[in-house]
Amino acid sequence: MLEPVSETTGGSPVKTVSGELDITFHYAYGEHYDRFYREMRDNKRIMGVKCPKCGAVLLPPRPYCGFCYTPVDEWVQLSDEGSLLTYTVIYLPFPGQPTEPPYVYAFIMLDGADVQFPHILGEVDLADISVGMRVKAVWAAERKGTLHDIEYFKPVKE
Amino acid sequence: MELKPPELVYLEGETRCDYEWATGEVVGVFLTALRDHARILGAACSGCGGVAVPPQSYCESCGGEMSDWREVGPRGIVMSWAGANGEFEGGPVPSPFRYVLVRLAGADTEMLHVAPDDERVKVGATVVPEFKPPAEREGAITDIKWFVPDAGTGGRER
Repeated sequence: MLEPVSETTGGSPVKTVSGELDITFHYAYGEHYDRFYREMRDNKRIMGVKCPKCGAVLLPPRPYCGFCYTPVDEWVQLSDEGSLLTYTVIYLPFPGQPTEPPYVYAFIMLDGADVQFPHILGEVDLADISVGMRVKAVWAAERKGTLHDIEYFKPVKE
Repeated sequence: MELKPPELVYLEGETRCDYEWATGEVVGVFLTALRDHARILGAACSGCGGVAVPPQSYCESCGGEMSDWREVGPRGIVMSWAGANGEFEGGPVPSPFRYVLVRLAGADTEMLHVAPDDERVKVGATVVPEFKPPAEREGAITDIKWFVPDAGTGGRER
C-alpha cells in the first residue's frame, strides 16, 4: 500500500480539486410555448388553450388536456389579472433566482383559467399579502419571450 | 412546398455548475507534491514493478497493488500529440496549443498534458514541465502550466 511520503508534508494535503462548468444553451420552445411566449413578447397577451371535451382552460398552452387527455387546439386569450391561490416567501439565495431575496413566489389563478400560473409578486408588503387577493401583471418594457416579460404581479387596488 | 420556417422563440440560458472533485488519497499525494515541491510522483507496482504517472492504487498492467512512490521526470518524451487550434470553453490554456502524451523519465505510462503550439513539440521530442510560480499553484494538474521543449535546463529550475 502507498503511504504518504515526505514530499507531502508541510502544506495541507490536497484532497479536492475545484472546478466549474458553464453550460450555455438555446432551448427551442416548440409549437405551443412558441406562440405563448411570442404573444407575451409582441402583444402583452397571455394565451391558453381550451379543451374541447371537458372545457378546461389550460395554461401554459399544451397539445393535450392534462385533465382528460383530449387533444387540444383552441386558443383563448386570458386576462392578465387573477386571484392569488397560494404563495411562499423566498429568503435564501440560490443560483438562477428571478430577483434578489426576499421575494414572493406565487401561484396565480388568472381569470378564465383552470390551471394556476406561477410567478412572483411585487409592489407589496409581506404583511399585506393574503390568499384570494386580486393581482395584475406588470409587463416589462423590454420583452424577450420569457416568463420575465411579466416583471411581477402587483395587487389591484379595489 | 413552403420550407421557410416561422420565426421561433427560444429560451436562452446558462447553467453554471461549481464542483469539488475528490482526488482520493493517492492522487491527493501526487497533487500535494506538485503544489508544494514541484515534484512529479509516480506509483511503483509491487507485482510487475511498473511505475504509473499519474499514480493509481492498483496497477493497470498486472492488477498488483502499488507499493512505493517514485519521483519521475522532470524530463519526458512526447509519445503522441494533437493540435487544439480552435477556441473552446474550459481549455487549460488559450488556443492554439497541443495536447501531449508525455512519458516521463522513470515512468511506464504516459501522462496527458498540454504544450505550446511549437513545431518542436513532436513525437520523440524531449520536453520539460514549466511549473507555475509557487503562489499560483493550487494542487491541481494545471500547477504544471505545460510542457515545453527541453532547452538543456532539464527543467530543474523551480
